[in-house]
Amino acid sequence: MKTLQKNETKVINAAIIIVIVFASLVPTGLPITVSEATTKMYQGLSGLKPGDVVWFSFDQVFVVLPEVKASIQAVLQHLFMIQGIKILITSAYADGPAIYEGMISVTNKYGKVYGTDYVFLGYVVGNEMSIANLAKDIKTACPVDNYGTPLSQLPMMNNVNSASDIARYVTITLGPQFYWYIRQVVAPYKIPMYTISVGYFLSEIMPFFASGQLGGYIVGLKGGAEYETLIGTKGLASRGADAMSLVYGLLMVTIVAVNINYWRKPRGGK
Amino acid sequence: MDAFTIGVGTTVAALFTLMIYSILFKENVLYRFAESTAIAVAVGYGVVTTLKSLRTSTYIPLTNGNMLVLIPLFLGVLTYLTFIKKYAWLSLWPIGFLTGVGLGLSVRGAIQAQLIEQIDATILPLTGSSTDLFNNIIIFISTIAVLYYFLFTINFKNPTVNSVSEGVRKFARYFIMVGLGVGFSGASLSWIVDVIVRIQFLLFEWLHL
Repeated sequence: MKTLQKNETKVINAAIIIVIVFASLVPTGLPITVSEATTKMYQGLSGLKPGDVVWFSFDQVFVVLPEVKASIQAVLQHLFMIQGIKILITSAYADGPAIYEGMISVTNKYGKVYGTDYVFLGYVVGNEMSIANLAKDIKTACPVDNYGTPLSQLPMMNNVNSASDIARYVTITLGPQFYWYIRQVVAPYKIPMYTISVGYFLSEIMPFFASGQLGGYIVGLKGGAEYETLIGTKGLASRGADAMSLVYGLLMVTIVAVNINYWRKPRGGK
Repeated sequence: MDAFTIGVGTTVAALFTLMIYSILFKENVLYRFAESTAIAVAVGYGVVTTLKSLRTSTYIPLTNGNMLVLIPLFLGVLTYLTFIKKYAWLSLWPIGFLTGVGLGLSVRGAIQAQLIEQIDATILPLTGSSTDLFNNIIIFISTIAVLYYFLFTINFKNPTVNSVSEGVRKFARYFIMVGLGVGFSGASLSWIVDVIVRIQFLLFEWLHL
């Protein structure tokens, strides 16, 4: 027992790894319950009509990619499935372009043509200021796309000049940039915004969903699994759903057990 | 990319994953090598991407005759004067300019988006289903109580009023703890998901199980 207590951290780590390996190799197919926030995001994006423009922002860093990759793939796949819509892609983070290149080849299976159906502006430097500039006048803030082609030569950009021409806004949120868009895009232009986020930022975005400023959101692998269920595919997130549920169960049991052990120990005194 | 290149890339990624997770056993040279490599790659990539964005945002407009971009370029160059002691004070100009513009922009949007609309969201009807009613009452009471908790300058002399005030503060502290609990569980969710994704990468994409 003393050896177990001495190596508590290593034992918990080993238990988590064993549960993940077991759940991955022997999937139990636990049911995936779709949350209200995910449903609203799906419904909001499904409501797009031919000709509508979606602004999709790759605002993330490589570190959080494992957590949101499945969700990004699911949402991008959904957008590419909708006939006739246009997608304007930007990135306010330097890591964005590489992540975009890795994602777009996987998700674009629906014959969308670059320049006509979607355009990538690349990494737009300047944080909140660049977002405000893009919202006000896209072609002045960013005159060329990621590959140096002037926006005037891309057919999709003929009628896309500012945030007023955008029907929906989707961002990948992991921190302060969420507020940049809430302040510079949602508040002044009243564009419905949806976000793909990470677990640690969930408590920050929930009040904005409750207030109606955020149309919907999906968080982490769980959100990705919910979104895959809604669009009818089984991707990376669904594959990890079983392991996630079992590990959370293990963590809850561990937290309770460790706390009971803590309270049983004699404390206090000098 | 051909299958061989993908295979090599997957193996390198798998080996680096194992090196990083070796820290769970104990600190070792493989972990430090993987950590240093990750930092070096991130810095190198960041420099290249930033230079590329300088090309699209400054060089191309300049060659098209837009001389206005020389102003931000000049301000950007001034920031590097911080390394020359004699002229370091000049680097404060672009920092002051950026701070001013940034603050101005943030405040303009924040009043509407983060203050007025968030306050507006706490003004809720006391009608509807019992669940909605319960939620609305909780939101209203917790917002007022937590805002009161952060009023540090009030000190009542009347002991009864003071004890009520302290009671409200204690009540608010439970709501704050719930908020922090949500934050903590969200953070642990992030860490666990990272581990799940990496282990599944090793199992399915590297070992093809």
